[in-house]
Amino acid sequence: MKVNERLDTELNRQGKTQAALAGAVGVSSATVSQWRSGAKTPSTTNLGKIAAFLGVSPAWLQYGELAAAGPPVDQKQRDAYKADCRWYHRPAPKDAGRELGNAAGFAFTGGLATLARETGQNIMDEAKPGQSTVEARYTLIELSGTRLSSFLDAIRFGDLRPHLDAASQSKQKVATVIAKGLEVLDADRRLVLLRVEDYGAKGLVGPEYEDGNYMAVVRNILDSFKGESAGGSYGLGKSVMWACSQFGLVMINSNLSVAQDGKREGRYIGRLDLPWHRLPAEDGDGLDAFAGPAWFGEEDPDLKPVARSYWGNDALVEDTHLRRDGDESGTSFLIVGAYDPSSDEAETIEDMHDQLVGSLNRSFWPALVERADGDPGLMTALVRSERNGATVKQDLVDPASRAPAKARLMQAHLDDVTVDTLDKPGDVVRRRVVLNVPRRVGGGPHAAQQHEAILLVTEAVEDEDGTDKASRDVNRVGWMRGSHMIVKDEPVAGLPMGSRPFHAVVLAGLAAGDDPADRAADRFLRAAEPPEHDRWTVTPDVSRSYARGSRAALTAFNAEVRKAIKEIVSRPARDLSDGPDALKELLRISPPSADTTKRPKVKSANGRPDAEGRWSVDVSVSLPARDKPWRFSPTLRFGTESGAAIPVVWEELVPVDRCTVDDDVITADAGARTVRFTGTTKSDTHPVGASRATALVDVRIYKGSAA
Amino acid sequence: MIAIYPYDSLVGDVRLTVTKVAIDGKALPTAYINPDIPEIAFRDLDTDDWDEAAIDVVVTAPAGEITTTTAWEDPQALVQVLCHYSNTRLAVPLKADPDTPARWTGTVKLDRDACYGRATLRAVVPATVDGVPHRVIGGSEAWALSFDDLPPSPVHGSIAVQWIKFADDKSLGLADYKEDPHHLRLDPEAPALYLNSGFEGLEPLLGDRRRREPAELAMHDSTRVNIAGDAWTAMFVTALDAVETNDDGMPEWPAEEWRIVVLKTLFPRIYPDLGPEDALIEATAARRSGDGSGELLERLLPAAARQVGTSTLLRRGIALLEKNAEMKGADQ
Repeated sequence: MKVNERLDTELNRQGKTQAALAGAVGVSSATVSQWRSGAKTPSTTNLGKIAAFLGVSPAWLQYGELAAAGPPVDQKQRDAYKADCRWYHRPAPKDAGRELGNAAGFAFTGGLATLARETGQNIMDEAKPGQSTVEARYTLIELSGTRLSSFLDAIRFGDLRPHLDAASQSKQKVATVIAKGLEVLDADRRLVLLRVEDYGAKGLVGPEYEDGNYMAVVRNILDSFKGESAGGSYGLGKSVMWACSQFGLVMINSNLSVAQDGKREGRYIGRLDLPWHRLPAEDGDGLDAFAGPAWFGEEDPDLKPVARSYWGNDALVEDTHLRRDGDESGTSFLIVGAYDPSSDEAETIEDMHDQLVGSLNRSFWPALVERADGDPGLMTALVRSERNGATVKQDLVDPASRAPAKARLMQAHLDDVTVDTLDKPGDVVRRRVVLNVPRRVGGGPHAAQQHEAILLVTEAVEDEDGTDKASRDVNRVGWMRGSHMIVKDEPVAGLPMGSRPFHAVVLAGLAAGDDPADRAADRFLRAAEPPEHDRWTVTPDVSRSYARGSRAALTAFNAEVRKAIKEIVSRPARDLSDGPDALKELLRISPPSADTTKRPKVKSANGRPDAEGRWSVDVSVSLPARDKPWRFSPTLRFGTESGAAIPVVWEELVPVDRCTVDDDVITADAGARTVRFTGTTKSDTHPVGASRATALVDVRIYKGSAA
Repeated sequence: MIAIYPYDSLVGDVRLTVTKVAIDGKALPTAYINPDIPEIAFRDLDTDDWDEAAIDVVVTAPAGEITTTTAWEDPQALVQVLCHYSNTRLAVPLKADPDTPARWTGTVKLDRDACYGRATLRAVVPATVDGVPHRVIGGSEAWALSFDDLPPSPVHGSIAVQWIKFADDKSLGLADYKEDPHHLRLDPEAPALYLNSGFEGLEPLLGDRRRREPAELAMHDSTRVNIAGDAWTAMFVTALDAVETNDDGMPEWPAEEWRIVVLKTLFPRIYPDLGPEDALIEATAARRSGDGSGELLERLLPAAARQVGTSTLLRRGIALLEKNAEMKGADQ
């Protein structure tokens, strides 16, 4: 069933009207009608509102029952894959060279946040031409008991075990990770899988052993077979999946958008990435050395014993948790032994789930925000966790609920309702900022170009984001280009006093438009992204492909954006006198914030009017250290709304701690730092009844009134 | 000083937020609403020709205290506008938010004619306590509303410092001082320091520059700190002169906020062991007595110098000159 069918069915089942739903969501009845018929799809934000109205979860509405079991497995198919599929381990090279870890895996430090960024970016890059929205799903699966055993059986983990043991014994860092993973597996009998799927992307197209998407992902390391507008420069993106597996093991199932050798659905291959290792030879004669990588598939009859992809076996796909939802093209990756490489502690799947949701939100909100007319954004993202078949948590990532101010930025831009200055609350300012792209000398050369990026700024509103302004998220600017991923998010320093707090985002390259200048800028910025894709800097690729001026161009771009932001958010100067700041700064008149005097001060005062209408108070006074004993007079005055407070007279003052009383004067004991006394006022000196005014209790040197 | 209420009052803060202001129906750009001071700067508008301002406000009080303290019945909120120049007092009751406890909203309609110069806007939370209605249990910080009739208050800023060619001046009476480098005018509502742009070389010496030669920097600092020190001394004296004594013989703070702030800023430096009220009494007494007045002035001069940092800049200036001499010596 699809979204529209679930919506239609549930609406009918609950007996609610189309008009009521339209009113609750804030769209027209006609739009709801189109949603029901399937002519239009509601955006993530609107889905959230519809779900709230119907009292169901947004994820259920979008996807239905995801944890439900698939169609029953055909035993013949199961027998077939068990007979056909094997692990093929690449032997060590004849020159005895050793690769002690996957080079690509070490090229960047990363945790789950990096995984979210890389996979999200790859998914968007691989969207089919003409696909308006691509779907990403992240599923954390925890297995134990029989489900674990069946899974390990299906991927022939037993055959892998000796290799993993051997690899875990070397002294490399990667060996420690493998050892740890095996330890948890043996001791706890528990395994975490992370499935990363996309729907609406191209899938692993291309031949088995020649250039193509498939080859790039499955067989090569540093290969990025992507066209001009793609996100990753070096293809290191995909290796992050292997880096997030304790065993370096990822299984893959893909439906292709373009048939390969007449086949399209269920292209299955597994890849293991181990360092060089040795095992006792099968024939008992010495040791066999292995380069490290291994593949799971059927033996290629023309190239024995190499394994190649295995097509169209539903049983294999079901048994290894890689069943796809429908036949739409795209790829599903299953990270076996998923963990966060940047964290020292083992995390629960709930923690990993939350981290993924947070990272997807932070890095992809521009792509996830709904577009004009309530259409879904460039990408939708779902994160789900299940434990032995039961769903534990699921979240449709919706920036409009987690970061509404940012969603507002993009929406105003897409709806074209931006303004030039921040006038009303909610205004979004749009300005153009120049990036001078240097002359390109590498492939596809061009002259220097002037690109106009778009800056969007809105004032941060206190209530909106739920938490208070002082923390985190305000006064920062996010930067993105055509990939719609936030490359970097930085604070803006040096704002003049009194500037309004704000949120800002820069849309550069293809995110700003589709002119030749925009494309040139996008290409430049892509080249300027290091493997982590987390900033723009002069990388080797930039030095190689562009004439001088790249550093200056990037620095100037940064400075221009900051200057524009400062101008937009600062307030008009309070004084127009044009004298030099050097003099004005010495003539500032501000109420003093701290009390720097060294004198007796009332530390605490408690009391109430008593039955006879007298004020009865208990006062503690703190004293600075000095040799001469302090003498002071307590005063109690009745507060008035305007004018001076009215002093009243004491009937009695009684010392309680470390002081003596003489008439109206308290003398502190020598060396005392705190004194305490009680006082009762003379009610006939009160200007009004005691219960009718506030009592201002102070200690003074000059009493201020005749007794 | 600590204030005690004869009944339980709010411990947490009452907050007044201005969400929107409309001038004769048109929205006021948010640039004029500054929650940090807090202030609504009507005076910065291009035209003063408007009739009515509608100020939308939200008032919140600590919800936990409001809902759980049984002694307070029927807590409400109202907004008070006070303008002591025009003697206007306005009280606007607010509506309680049906969905959120301890939250009220409303609109204050302000006639331009009812205000002059400066006014304040604050929220007050009254409740019925022990059967007595309208007892104030808490209030918010006061917002400043500034109007075009008066120059901006120097408080939270600095006094106006303006370049004028004294010789050509016709309106401020500065032509009489055309040979002087600067002149201080201590108008009660608008204190200002005028710098003579006709004084040869003064603008390059005092103007803001990024880099200066050491000797020039020393001279620049020395000149500006002396001008500022003199200004503080003069401001203190006129502020103290503005203190009147009431019927009980007690001194009262001056009417102008900047004068109060000048006194309160320098008192801790002049009388380090007296609180503001006591310092006012002491200073007023000193001013009147023969000997005391000399002593007050003796304490005032270093206090003003410390306020502007004379010693620090002098030390720096001397070091710069020494460095300069070294450099010159090295060249020879």
